[in-house]
Amino acid sequence: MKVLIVEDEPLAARRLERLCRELLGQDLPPPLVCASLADAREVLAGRTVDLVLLDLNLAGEDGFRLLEEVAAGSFHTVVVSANTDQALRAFELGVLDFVAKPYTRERLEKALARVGGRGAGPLRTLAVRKGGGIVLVPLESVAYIQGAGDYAELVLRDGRTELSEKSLDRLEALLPTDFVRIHRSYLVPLQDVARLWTQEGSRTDVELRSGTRLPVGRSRVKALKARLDA
Amino acid sequence: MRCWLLIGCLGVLLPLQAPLSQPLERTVEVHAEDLSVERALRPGGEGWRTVPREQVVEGPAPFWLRTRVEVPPRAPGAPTPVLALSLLGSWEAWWDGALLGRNGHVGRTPEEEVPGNVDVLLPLPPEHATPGPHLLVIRASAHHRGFQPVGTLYRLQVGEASELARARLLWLVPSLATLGALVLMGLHHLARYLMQRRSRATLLLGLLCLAASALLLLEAWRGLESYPYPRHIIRLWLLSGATVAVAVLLPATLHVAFSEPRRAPWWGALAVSLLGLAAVPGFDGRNTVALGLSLGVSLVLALRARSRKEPGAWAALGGLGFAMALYLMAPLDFPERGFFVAFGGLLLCLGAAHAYQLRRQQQRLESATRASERLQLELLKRSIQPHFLMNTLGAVSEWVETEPAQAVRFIESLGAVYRHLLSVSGERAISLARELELCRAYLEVMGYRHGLAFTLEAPGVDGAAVVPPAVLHTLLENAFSHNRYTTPVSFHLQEVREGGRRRYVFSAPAGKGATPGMGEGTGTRYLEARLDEVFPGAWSLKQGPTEAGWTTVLEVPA
Repeated sequence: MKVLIVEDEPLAARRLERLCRELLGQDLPPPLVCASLADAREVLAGRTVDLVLLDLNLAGEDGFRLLEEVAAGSFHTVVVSANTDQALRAFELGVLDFVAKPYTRERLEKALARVGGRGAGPLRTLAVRKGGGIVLVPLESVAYIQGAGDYAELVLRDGRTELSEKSLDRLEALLPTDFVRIHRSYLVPLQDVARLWTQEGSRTDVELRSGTRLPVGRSRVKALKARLDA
Repeated sequence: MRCWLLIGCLGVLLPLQAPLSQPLERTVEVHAEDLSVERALRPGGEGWRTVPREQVVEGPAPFWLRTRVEVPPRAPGAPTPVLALSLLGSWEAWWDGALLGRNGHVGRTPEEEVPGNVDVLLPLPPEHATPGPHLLVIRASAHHRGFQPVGTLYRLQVGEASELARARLLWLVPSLATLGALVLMGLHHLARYLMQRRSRATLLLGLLCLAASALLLLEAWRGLESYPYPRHIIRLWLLSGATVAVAVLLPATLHVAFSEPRRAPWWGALAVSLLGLAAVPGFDGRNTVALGLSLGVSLVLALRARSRKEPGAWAALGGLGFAMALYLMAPLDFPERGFFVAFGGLLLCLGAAHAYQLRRQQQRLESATRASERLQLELLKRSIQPHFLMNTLGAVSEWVETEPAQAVRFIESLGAVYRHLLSVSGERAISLARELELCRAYLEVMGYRHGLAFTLEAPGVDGAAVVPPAVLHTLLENAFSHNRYTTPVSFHLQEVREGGRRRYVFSAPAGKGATPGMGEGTGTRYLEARLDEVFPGAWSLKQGPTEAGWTTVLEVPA
């Protein structure tokens, strides 16, 4: 896992770097450190970074724009900040975790552990980059999400689509649990599932309320049925 | 407004005290020689001069005075009328040729004379009290007057005793009522002056009320007590003194109460007026002119206050206009009759205006206190704002885990910052030396956090100069929130003194990733509010980017 630390205060950066090394193990590549997001943009454009640990002053209007920009990125973001009053907003925009300063080694460990698991907060919107700007797509308007290589295509209820820089795996980690992975390439909102069709050759399809039919992965049928019956 | 109601009532009372006199002959005949009684009582005769009644100035040696007095018609069975005679001297009087009575003892020399009273009521003999004209002859001497009056015959009137008494009462009661009110108002203002904030306007208003009540009391004194005529001059002098006091205090009070900006012309006007007054003949004339001048000058002062939009100027203008109107209606009678109504109303108005001003002052003071407390809170809040406090604690965590000894040093300098902040936050102004100590402690903490040395150089500044708390501290904070310093940095403070003002130039070097522009941030608002609190209206704050970074120029009175 490749980690990028965005932190403008040397001592705080030193702390994050040291703890990351200790927690992630010496065999991983050492975390990169940048003092500002502007400096970090080039690194991030390479799409090699898995996790950004972000500490910037998130107060004020600039803070929101910054968060949206980060949330639209392909990487996971964990905010490490002194301004806890922005935490909820950050979660809604799609950060994986929010670590309040000052923090312990254990707290940071928990945040790093979320990269493979589930986000810590209620995501409300998906930030996507569009035409040089950022568009916030409300989750309610998403019909289903289709994987497209390293990207994911958000298919909206009105038929339009938006392209997210995050992979389906990363979106699954951020999205609330009522978004179910039914296939290697599909994430659907559970409440939209109208019925299951069992096809010949033990193939299973899902019919959504909108009438769209999507395939269900062979290994995922059992879990989906269990969720639907619950 | 309540005071207008009261003035209205007083205005109604004024006509009631019009004297119940019947128009008598307005002239008298005087004879300067000490004739024998027989010659004086004989009709006609040589050497009698006719003079207006107000201008009898014979004396002090015995002289004669004769006039026709009209006895008013009356219902059958009504009481016999009395003669009310006020003549400044001792006298004996004959009514239709018969001796009517004596007041003191007329004498050729001061030793021989026994002084009579000023005001005397003599019952007329029933047989000589028929309605119609009667002859009154008076022999008088006045060795003990002590001054040369304009006229010595104040009153000559025939009427029913009860009616005369009623007239006197009607004259007395309202002025005594006003007197009581003025004494209370005066004492109230003096007590306020002594107990509360020492406002000169309050003191002057109190003194003005008391001087006006002294004037009223002295005016009313003749109606309260009958005294021998030699004492009249004492009363007149006291009356003059009280009048001048009122006449001077009234404009002085307005001058102070409405913070009249100019001073010299008014002192000049006062000196000229006093000199002019000395030239006016007669006590009554002087008093009248003094009060008229005083009202005129006060009116000008109130109009100027009005044009400056001073609070309460309307009330003062109303009171003065009312008093001026009464004065112009009858200038000569004013000191005796219009005065108490006019000044009762005027002083009520001034009292109301003054109370209004005090309330405004109180409100201003309270809001200033509130603002001061808000600023103190703001400063303390800023010192625990998360960006500073939480990042600092984060730094402590790192050192505790890696270099505990460094952590202890850091905590110590953090303690110093808070000690300084706590000690200055409650003050309105502190010495620049204390401010510099606070700033250096803050820079030490920031230095630890950044792993860099930050210094503040202030060569040759006057440490004893007074500045609002955390002024430089705020500028430093701004510098740190808009710059990312990656190399050691030195901040500079320069002081320039010129023309009674101090100019401070604070320069913060630009760091990496500088985001210029701190125009209307919370820090700047704090600075402006604090500066306005300590140097109201006398400061200037300019800031902007320069080649080296950011420069702030602050100018305050020395």
